[in-house]
Amino acid sequence: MRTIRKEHGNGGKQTYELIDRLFKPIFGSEILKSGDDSTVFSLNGLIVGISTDSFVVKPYFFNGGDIGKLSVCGTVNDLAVAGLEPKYITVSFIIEEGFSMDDLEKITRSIKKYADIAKVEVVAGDTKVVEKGAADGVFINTTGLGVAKDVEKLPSISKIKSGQIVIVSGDIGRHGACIYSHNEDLGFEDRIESDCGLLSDAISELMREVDVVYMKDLTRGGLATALNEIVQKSGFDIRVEENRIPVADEVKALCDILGLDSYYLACEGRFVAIVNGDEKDKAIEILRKYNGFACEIGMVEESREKRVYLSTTFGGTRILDMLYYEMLPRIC
Amino acid sequence: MQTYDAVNTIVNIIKNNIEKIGRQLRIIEVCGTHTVSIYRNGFHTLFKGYIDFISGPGCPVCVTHEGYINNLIELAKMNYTIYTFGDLLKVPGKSMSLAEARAEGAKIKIMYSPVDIVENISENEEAIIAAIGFETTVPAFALSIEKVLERGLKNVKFACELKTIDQPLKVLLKDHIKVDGLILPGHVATILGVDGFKFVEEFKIPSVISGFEKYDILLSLMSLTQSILDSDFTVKNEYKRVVKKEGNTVAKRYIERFFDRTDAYFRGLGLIEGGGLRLKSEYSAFSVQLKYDYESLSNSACRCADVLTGKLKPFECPLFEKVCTPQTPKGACMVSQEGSCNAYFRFGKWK
Repeated sequence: MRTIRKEHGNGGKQTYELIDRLFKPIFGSEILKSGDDSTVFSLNGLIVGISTDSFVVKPYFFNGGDIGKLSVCGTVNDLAVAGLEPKYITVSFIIEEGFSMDDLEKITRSIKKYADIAKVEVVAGDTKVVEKGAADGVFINTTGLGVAKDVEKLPSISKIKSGQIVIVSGDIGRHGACIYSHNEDLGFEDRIESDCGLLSDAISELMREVDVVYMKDLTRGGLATALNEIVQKSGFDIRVEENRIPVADEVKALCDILGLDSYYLACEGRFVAIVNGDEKDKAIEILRKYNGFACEIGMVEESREKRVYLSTTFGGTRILDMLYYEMLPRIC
Repeated sequence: MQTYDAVNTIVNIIKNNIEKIGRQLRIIEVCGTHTVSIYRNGFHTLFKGYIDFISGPGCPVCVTHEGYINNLIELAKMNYTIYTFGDLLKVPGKSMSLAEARAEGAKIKIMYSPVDIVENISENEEAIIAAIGFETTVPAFALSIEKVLERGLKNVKFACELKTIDQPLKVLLKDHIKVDGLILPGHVATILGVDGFKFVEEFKIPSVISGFEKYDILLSLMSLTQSILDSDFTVKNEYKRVVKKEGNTVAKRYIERFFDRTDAYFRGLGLIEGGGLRLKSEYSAFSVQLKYDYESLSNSACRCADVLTGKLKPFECPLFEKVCTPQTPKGACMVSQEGSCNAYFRFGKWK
């Protein structure tokens, strides 16, 4: 019997296969085929975008955020990287019987706080309570609506060309490392702060000053999976340089202890931007106002094998593939 | 910048050594963590044409046979909670893996340390701890048993499939493989010491105990290529910050206190005399009786055995990439993140 397993939801190869082989053929929507985190379409002459995301993170409160903040940031960021101005969100809760009312209030206030910061209004919602054991605490779904300010400046996968520069907006892997350290009770939860945060201001300023070719936020599956998604859709290769990719020492340490790979760890407040070479310095200068680790990490290459290559510190090369399975700690 | 100059200098020394030797070298890295480090850092491309890296049988997951998995699944069906290291989850058993059994409701939990489990387990949970690994992990299991005795726990047992490194290496070097040099496992050497690998010298093959960082491996390759050039068969230690000549004497005493040598079945190498460890008879109450049918353990299509003994490159296996992938592994070399096939698949599609 075919069953769903955890890796179907890790944002890696199996998630994409599930979507491509099951959901897309059944839904059959032309718009859905774009496969981006936000879908941009024309509605009576107005260019709008919609994005939806569900949040099941545990613990609900972690170093640097909580499930409420995450549920706003996740959807707002998906709209922002599509070049849209986020306007409205809906918030739906599935709550397990017995969940703490105080915790629910904290989470709700957090949603409100970050919706206000992102200048989005919560306009609809839904609440379901299920019996104990039918869910794990609280699950949240948010759906966001955004509008395009300038259609000509919308980032697009079709604008990608060889020679363009790949920039990352900050150091990677913090959110995944933070949640891992909480869940595995390793004793240094307070040392790794999640990168959970809003990208809309940084992206808004970037798009005002630079012709951004394409953007993608780094969520499940991390940097490696995001880059692989870009090469699959664009048809070009990307080469990134290991010694340029910013990873905090504490994240590296966690990865070394558990045998994890920081390139695959989730982020919730980071994105990659592809820009033309003559605008890279301006783009990095802008992004560094928001995160000092923003930097150039690589380049789009002409060859069309749809692969991401990593140039290692010592001059070797390896393939940086999609995440194939749930990352598991090693034995020794 | 100085670091990279130093690195380039060392890379050039290694290449010069090999040029003086006058042929591409076959070097076996015994440990799976070395395999991953070699591919992750691109050494296979950096030394392309100079060094042919062969993955050895030192990945504890890769050498774990399906019979062991079948036993664990049977025990899970009997309502025991199985505690296991994470990377054993996807090793295929006869009908399913532990991950698939878990998806069907079996109580299978990931552990980082068996000591943590026995310190915190409730007396009401009937638990079995999957004890696999080489000498690196054996002391942790020995400590766990000591804790079980201290707490007087009657509800925790160990499913032992522990391995020793010396016997399979002897079998490999004697019967299976011709190599120019060995990169020896730093973690096992931390326990056994340099003395624990002295037996390698009898085979007249140069060897080096190496750490796992990229700089460790680079220095070890410099040392090893020099040994090959000089026909120096002394075991070299390039992991001195951790590995002592005599090893970790406390850990070794713990191993001797709780375990006896026994025969063990290695995927790829078969049944090896003295290749495993079992609990001493006075502690047998804490050991689960495992039932194996060794005859049925070989998968004729899967060539893990030839990969583990260096006879075949992963991509030369007929199943590689076609039906055997990290998502649908047919053999343990593809399951384990430290398996040769898995590392090839993820980092090294360089045919």
